[in-house]
Amino acid sequence: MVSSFSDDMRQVKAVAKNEIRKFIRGRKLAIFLGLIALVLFMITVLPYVLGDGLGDNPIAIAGTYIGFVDLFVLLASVFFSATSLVSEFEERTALILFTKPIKKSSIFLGKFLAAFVIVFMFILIYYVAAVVVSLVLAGTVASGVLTSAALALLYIFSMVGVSFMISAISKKGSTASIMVIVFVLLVLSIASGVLQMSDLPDWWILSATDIFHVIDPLKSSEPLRSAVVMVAWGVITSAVGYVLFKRKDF
Amino acid sequence: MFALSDPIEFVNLRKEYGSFTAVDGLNLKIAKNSFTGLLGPNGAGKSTSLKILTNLIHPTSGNVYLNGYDVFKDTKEALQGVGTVVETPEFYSYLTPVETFRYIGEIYGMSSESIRSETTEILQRVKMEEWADKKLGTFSKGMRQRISLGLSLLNSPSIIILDEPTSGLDPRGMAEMREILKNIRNDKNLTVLMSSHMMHEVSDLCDRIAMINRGKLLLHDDIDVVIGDSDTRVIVIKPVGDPNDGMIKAVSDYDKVVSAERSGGEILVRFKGERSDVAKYFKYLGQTEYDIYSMSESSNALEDKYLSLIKESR
Repeated sequence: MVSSFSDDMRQVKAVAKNEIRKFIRGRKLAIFLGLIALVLFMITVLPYVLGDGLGDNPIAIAGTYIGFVDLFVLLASVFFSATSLVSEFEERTALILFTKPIKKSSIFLGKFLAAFVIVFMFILIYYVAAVVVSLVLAGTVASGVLTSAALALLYIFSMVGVSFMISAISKKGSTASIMVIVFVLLVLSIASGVLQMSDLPDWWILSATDIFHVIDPLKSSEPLRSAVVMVAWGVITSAVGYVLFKRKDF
Repeated sequence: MFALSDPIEFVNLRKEYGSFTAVDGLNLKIAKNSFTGLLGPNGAGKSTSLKILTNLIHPTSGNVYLNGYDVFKDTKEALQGVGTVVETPEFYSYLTPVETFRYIGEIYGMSSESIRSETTEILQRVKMEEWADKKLGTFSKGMRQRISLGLSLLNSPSIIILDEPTSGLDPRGMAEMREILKNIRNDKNLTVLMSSHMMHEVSDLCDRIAMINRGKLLLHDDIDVVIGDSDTRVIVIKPVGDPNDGMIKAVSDYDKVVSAERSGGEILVRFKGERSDVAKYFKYLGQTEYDIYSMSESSNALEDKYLSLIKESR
């Protein structure tokens, strides 16, 4: 039993390693790094070129940077998660991988871990930049940044789960990418809006709002509840995605 | 696990796509160390059966076993000693053959040293050693097919499953692939199941035949028995120059020859006998005064049997 588990984990590691190698050798990684560099440049430099700069309020500085985190998580999920499962079918590499002595769960987990790590690394770069700029300009960092980073981590987990679920039911990577964007920006927003209009609770709808709100003490936030919701979304969508992936025929 | 002696077994296998039945209660056992050709027309259920056998498609009902393990219940154990070439697979375009072998070797749990030594040996065997460090994304279909066959040999499998391995290749690619397959056939510890609809390929490579149509097994036997069933073998003799009457007489003057007739620049001989009798006949022809540059058994007998069975099953 133990040796079987360790053997599964060894295979998970092999799949994750190959996925990360795919990201590194592909153009997506360079494009995304370029995008992050561009946004950081615009946020950091343009205020000084066009106005009075970023100021010295650590909450305002952190808010400026972290305000884009949800968009980056969404884009990174689209880039690195949405095509992860469907590409094995679309590019016919399933004929190589699925016919080998490896469980579908190990393939799923390996790909999930790789996508999670890559998206997390990008967001980490972003948070590090925010902290460094805040330290340089304000000499301190807003107290809610760590909580915000923790929530961002859980948000990445839930978004990778959503992306994998959609990837498992899609026939093409491009369709999966579009569906993830539509689901997050449109379906979830509409669902939340409709629930609010109907005076029904919408706290259970996946949202990144508290990632920003926890930085500012003047804004109300419920980080614990948000964390639970994010974890629930991550677990449920991952589980659904895995079942769909396992059942999917070539 | 089932205590089965046959390395490959299909048990009451059924696969339905809506109202269409692709595989209809297939029962088939593949004997150990045999090279079995799975024959059938397009849509007969060959690829579907092999895709189920290799964990790519779920059956509607029934079971498939590899080395006694249920492919869908004990996937890892079932596929552990199995090499596969299903259709023309695409490889990870960003990897080289060496990196691909390393990745799959890691999946198998092989040591780095084993992966390295086997990769070198296999790439030589499939004549791809010069391309070992080139990105697979640039490879032609024939090259990818050779890499695929090579990959199926990694980790010393006891079973190899091939789904139309020469399909879509140009004549040179087909010839190269068949040469490698003949080389594999010489390994007496391997059980090979190969689907094809090329009669000459099957008669050239396989020692057993399973014919299916409409997802049902029509026949499963030694190729000699199958060909023997159709009474006569057809032998094609190609002499240097046009065959004359004297040569026809010499070719016919053998007790197992039923008839011999000219066909263009060749002589078609209808022959009753086993493979060993054919070998003796070839020796006899070599001792005649006529210059013959080619003599081989035609796959027509197998084709006749195949067509008659397919016709009966409609």
